Parts: sequence; structure tokens; C-alpha cells
Amino acid sequence: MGLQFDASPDEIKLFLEEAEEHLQLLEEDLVRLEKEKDNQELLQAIFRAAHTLKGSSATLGHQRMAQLTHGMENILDKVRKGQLSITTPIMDVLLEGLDFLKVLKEEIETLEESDVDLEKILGSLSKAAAGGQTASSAAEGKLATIPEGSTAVTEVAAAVQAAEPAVPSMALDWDEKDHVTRGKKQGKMAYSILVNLAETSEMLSVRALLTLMALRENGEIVKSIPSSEEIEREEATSVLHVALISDRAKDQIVHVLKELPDVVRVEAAPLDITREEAGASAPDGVTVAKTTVAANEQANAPLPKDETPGNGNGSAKIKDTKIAKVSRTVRVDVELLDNLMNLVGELVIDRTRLAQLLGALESKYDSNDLVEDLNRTSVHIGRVTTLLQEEIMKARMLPVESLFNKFPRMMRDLSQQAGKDIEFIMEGQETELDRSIIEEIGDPLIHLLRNAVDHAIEPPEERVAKGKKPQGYVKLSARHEENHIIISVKEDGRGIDPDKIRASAVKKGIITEEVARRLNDQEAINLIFASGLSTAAKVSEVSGRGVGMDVVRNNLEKVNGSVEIVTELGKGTEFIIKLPLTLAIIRALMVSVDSRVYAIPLGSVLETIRLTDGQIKEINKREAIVVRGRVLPLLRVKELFNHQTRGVRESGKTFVVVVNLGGQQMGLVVDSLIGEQEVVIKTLGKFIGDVQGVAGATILGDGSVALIVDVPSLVKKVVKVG
Amino acid sequence: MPKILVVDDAAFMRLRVAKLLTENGYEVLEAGDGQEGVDQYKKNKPDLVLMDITMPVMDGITAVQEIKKHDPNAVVVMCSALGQQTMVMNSVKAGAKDFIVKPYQPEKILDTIKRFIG
Repeated sequence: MGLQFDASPDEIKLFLEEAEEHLQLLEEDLVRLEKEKDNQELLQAIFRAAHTLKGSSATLGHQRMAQLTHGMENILDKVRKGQLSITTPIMDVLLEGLDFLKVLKEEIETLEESDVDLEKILGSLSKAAAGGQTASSAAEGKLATIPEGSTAVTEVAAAVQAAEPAVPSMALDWDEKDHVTRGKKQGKMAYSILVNLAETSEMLSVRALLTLMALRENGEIVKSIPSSEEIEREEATSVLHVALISDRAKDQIVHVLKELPDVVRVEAAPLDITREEAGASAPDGVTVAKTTVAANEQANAPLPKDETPGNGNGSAKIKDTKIAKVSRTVRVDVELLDNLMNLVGELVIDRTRLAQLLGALESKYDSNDLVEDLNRTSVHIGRVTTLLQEEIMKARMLPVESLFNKFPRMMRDLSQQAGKDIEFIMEGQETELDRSIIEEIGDPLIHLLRNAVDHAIEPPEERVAKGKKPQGYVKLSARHEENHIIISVKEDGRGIDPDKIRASAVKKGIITEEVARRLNDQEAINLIFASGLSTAAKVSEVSGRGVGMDVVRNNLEKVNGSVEIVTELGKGTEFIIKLPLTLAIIRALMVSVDSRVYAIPLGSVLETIRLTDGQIKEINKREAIVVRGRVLPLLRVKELFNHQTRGVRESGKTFVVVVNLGGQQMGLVVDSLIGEQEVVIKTLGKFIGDVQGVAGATILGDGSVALIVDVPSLVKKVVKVG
Repeated sequence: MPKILVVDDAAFMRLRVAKLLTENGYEVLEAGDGQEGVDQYKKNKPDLVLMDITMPVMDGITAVQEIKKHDPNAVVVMCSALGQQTMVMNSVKAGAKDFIVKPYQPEKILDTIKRFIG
């Protein structure tokens, strides 16, 4: 079933962006709340997120989302007020609610109504909310003594409704009468005014207070039923009876009142105090117009704030910096950033071309003033371009927090399912990484974390038997290291046994027994990245997703990253992932083949070798060379890209670029080496699409195009054939 | 053109209200939290403020107090969700002139604004 919302696509987009942020916040903070039960600030942030989602979804017209968030907000509100405490069942129902919210958010994305049934979750939410309510509401009921005069209010109200048009007179005490008399002496009129508010009006008490305030602007309130204190205690009814002295005419006042929202009926009559009996209360000179004075005082008194009193200057300063930070933030579409990066890439290319052209001009007209001028301008443009490039790179950076946020929840659920006691630690969430890389590393990290819970960490009994603490830990950390970002997944579990890997690899036919014996331990451990190898005897619900460690490595390599394993049997394992800062610009080794230029990402280049005649051997019908006793399979770039050879190159002038990919090495045969260069990666475009062996293209200083060699796909190709 | 300051932490809500108001001939200023709202008020002196209550940095009630301190004649209308009566009450006591309950009905917003600034 299709969904329709009363909002433009732009509005929906904005709604979704914000909803995503709120959901992420909820995801992360709810799990944190379970540990930091007393963290009020955290609780407030969570409440705010649920509350804002409720408001926005109701406005968008997604009633189910509004209902669900309302249910969650209800519980959070009670926790906030201390009527409920955070328990595992409460957390479970909140987290479950969050899962449903995600589905509902997807509905808005796809405009397709999902078949989720909210009945059950709404039921559990209200049940959970009621859990704390029963006790406290009973207590409240007992504590709340019936306020003075409130019986009178209802009686009056009832009387009014029975005898409709008449304005009932009002019993005034001695002070109040005195107040009226003084007013009359100043030439003012006294009125008894009856205001009926709509029964259906939202927040009746606030409406009553506002009505009272409007009256106050038109005169002095001698008395009101209910009193302003009662109204402020939210005990208003839909009937408001006021004794007012004013210098305005009756009709004027009635007119003002009738203009107010939710006012359905106004009756006013002159107030005759002589008709009233003073017997209602004894004279008491001190309580002159008690209600109004009290109300005014309350209105002027500062409200309780949660601000801590202290050094006023200091706190003001903190606030200042906070606003500055907020108001300087702007939302930008990722696509826009990509486009900007592309445009800067063009500029970088033009900068190089400009420099080349200048060189040509200078050699033609040396020491010409115009050329000099052009030179200066060109240098300046070059500098600005570099700065622009750096700034845009920075804009593309995102703290890994956005990715890490979802892990605490996942780890909590996984540990529970696996029946393991695991402390999950995160560090360095603020570390920044290019957003396209962040997108790519999500799956690999999930896989590594799942593995840690499922395979690495032992059940508590087993850990105790081994003399370890019953609670294991998994630590996910990110940090900056030179020109790379290091993300590590470390645990204190079983560790990886190289002998088991060897045996398993042989059994599965991945390597021969002969090869297995020759592998050192590190090499054996690296075999877990080979496809088809899984050491776990049983595949659990958790890790059994048909995704192996080979996919982990592939995904990381797609973004020019690498992964390394440090493990100690019985002590634990650490996966160290090394990622480049950005994908848009890489350092590459430029090579030429048949006078065409190719770029090989420097990250995967191990070394270059100059070939001499006869060094190339044929092993298993494939070309290879032997380097320091190791056989290195070769791939001729010329053949790879089907060059129509124009001239046969002389032998003896060939180079091999040795590339490495997760321990697999091979050589690319090229004609000559040009040198290292920073290249801007450009995609081949939609028309061409994916070409095997090509990761993209770049434009060189002279305007010609060079292809960027896709090392991972080539290595795989060679390994597969071999 | 009358100036209206919309203070809400949800950009989505601001967008909705801003659209409605601009279509009806108001100039709209926006702020994403209470503190920003107060600053905007001091700087631009809008004719009316639509103020959300639950916001980060500074909530709507505190913001009303701050604005009122700066300009006792300020017209602030609270925008609240159902169930926030106590908070709306406190805002009114702090000087807010009226309130609107979310989800907004466009006519209600416009009526309310017209009542104060025509």
C-alpha cells in the first residue's frame, strides 16, 4: 500500500535526515543509559530525541510513528521524573520500540506501508509505563489534599450550567469588598464576569490562565474562581468566574474576551457588593486581594532552573561558545561534497597544465613582463587550489562515531544471544575519516565484531576454567597514525591457532599439505582471509551469514585499506585495519606501456624490478619470475588492456612492478617507470561502467587521461587462474 | 513585512512553519535552540516568536525568560506537544503570550499570529 504525506519531497528529505540522527542517538544512548542509570543529561537527550521525533512525525502525518514515539516518550518521561527506574525489561521494550521506529522510518523513505503490527509494541510500552504508575499514582492520590475552595468551584460551575444566562453573584470577603469599594471611589466599574471555555480546548488550565491574564490587562482582578493558584496547579475547569474592577465599559471587556481563543461564552454583569453577605469570611486586614498578589509574585519570580549557580561569567562564556558552534553548522548533501571534490580535482589538473604552459611561454619569451605577471597569478592560483582542496577534504570527513554508534546495541544483543559476558569498549569515536570510506567499512567491522562475540570470547565457565576473568572484553578503537587511520578490533578471547588453520585449509583443499608445512605461523593465520575457510565447527545464527573473512578483506581493499592480525593463543586477537584518509586523491606510481600512461596505487606497490633477458620463466603455462627464491606470477599490462602493439619494444628494457595484496604478490610487466605522483581519482562514468582491472582514471598535467590500475581485481584474477 | 522568529530544534518543523508563514506574507527568522533564539531576538527584534519548549542548549521556558528580560513587550507564543501543560504553564508565567499545540493546524498558527500582530 502506498503512503502519502502532506509534505514536499524536500521536507520529507529533511525529516528523514533528522529522524536518522535521532534514531542513531537513541540507539547509542539507550544502551549507554542502561549502564549510566543516573546520568540525567543523557536521559534528557534521549527524551528530547523521542519527543522531537513525535512532534515531527505527527506534523508529517505519520500517525503510527507519532503513536509509537509517544509511547516511548511516556516511559522516558516517567523515568525522568523518577516514577520508573531503568530495568532490563524497560530497556528491552524501549529498544524494541526503536527497532519498529526504524521500520516506520523506512516506510517514509519508500512510501510503502510496511506490515508491522504496532499493537503489541504499543501494548508493551504502555504496560511498561504503567509499571511505575500504579504505585506512584496511588501515593499521589493520597497526598493530594483537596484544595480549599475547589468544592465551591465545582458547585458554582454546576450552578452556572444549570441556570444558564444569569451571571451568578460572587461571595466576597471583607478585603475583597474593600478592594471593590476603593475601585469604585476612583470611578471604576465592578463586574462579575463568567467565561466559558471550550470543553475540548487543549491545555485548559493554560488557557484559563491566559484568559485571566487578558482580564488583568483590562482591569484589576478582585477574585477569581478557580483562583490563579489553582489554575497554575492545573486544576482549572472550563468555567471561569471573575470579579473585576475596571475603567472600561462592560461591552469592551466582553469583546476582548470573546476574541480570545477557546472562549465560547462570556457573560458580564455589574457587581453589587451591597447585595453580598460578608459572613463568608472574617475580616483580615493582611490578606488584601490575596489571589492577585500571589499570582503576580509567581509570575515575576524566576522559575527554577537546572543551571548550576556559580561563576556567572564562566557559564555565560561556555554558552557563548556553544551557540557559536551550533549556528555555524550547515547541512550539506553528500552529493554536493562529491561534486565539489570533483571540481577541485579539475582545478588541480588545470593547475598542473597551467604550470606546464607557463614553462613553455617562459622559454619562448624569456623575461617578458606579461609572462612574469602570469607566472605570479598562476602561483597564486596554485596555492589557493591546494588550500581549497584541503578544506574540501576536511568537509568530507566525518567522525567514525556515526558508524560506531550502532555497535553498542548490536554487541549487547549479540552477547545476550550467545550467553556470554562481554564488556564492549569503544575509543577514539571522534577520529575523522572520509565519509565514503566510513560507508564501506561498516560491514567488515560488523563481521569482525560478530566473530569476536561468537567465536573468540569463551563462555564464562570456560574462561573461569582457563583462569581468566569471567567477563571478556571487545575493544573497538580508532586513531590517527601518520597519513592513515587505524581501526582496531581487539578481544581477550581464544586467540587463533595456526595449526588448526593449516589443518583446515588442507582439508578444504585450499592449500596442499606441502605448502601448509612451509607456511610460517603468521602466513598460516593470514589464511583465514582465504575464501572458503572457516575454523568454526558450528555456524551460529550470529556469524552464519555466508560472509567470510575474505569478504572483510575485499571490502577493506576496495577502499585501499588493509588488515593485519596479531594473535596469541589463549590470550586474544587484534585485527588492525589500516585505512587511507581519503579516497579522492591517492599517491600513485606512474608507469608507461606502449607510451600510454597508467597509475598504480602506491599503497599496494612493494618494489620495482628491472628485468633482464631470459629472466621470465614459464611455470604451469604461466609467465613468472623468481625473486629471492620466491615465484612471482606475472601479468603483462599490455595484454591485460589489449594494446594493439604499434612497435615491438626491445627486450631488456622491461620493468616489473611488484604489487602486494594481503600477502598475495604478483608482478605487473610495464615498459618504463615515470615516477610517483598525486592523482585525483575520477570514475569512468556511467557510459563505460565497471571495467575489470581498472579502478578509475585520472587526468594528467598535459590533459591526457591515464587509467588507474585496480590491483585487487588483478591479484584475484591471477590467484584464481593459478 | 512583520518579522516572525521560529525557534525549534527540528529543522523539519522550522521548514514547515517557515513555508506557511512566508506564503502568508511574513518574514521568517529561524533559530535551532533557545540560546540561538534569544540571540536572534536581540539582534533582529522580531514582531513575534514561535517557541518550541523541548530543545537542547537552552529550553523554551528559559528562552522566554531571557527574551522577556531583554524586552518586556516581546510577544512569544509557545509551541508544545500535548501533555506538556505544566511546561506551557510555566512559560506563560514566564511571560509567553499564548501557545499552540503540535501537530500544528495552519489556520491556528495564522489566527494566533494575527491576534497579536495583525
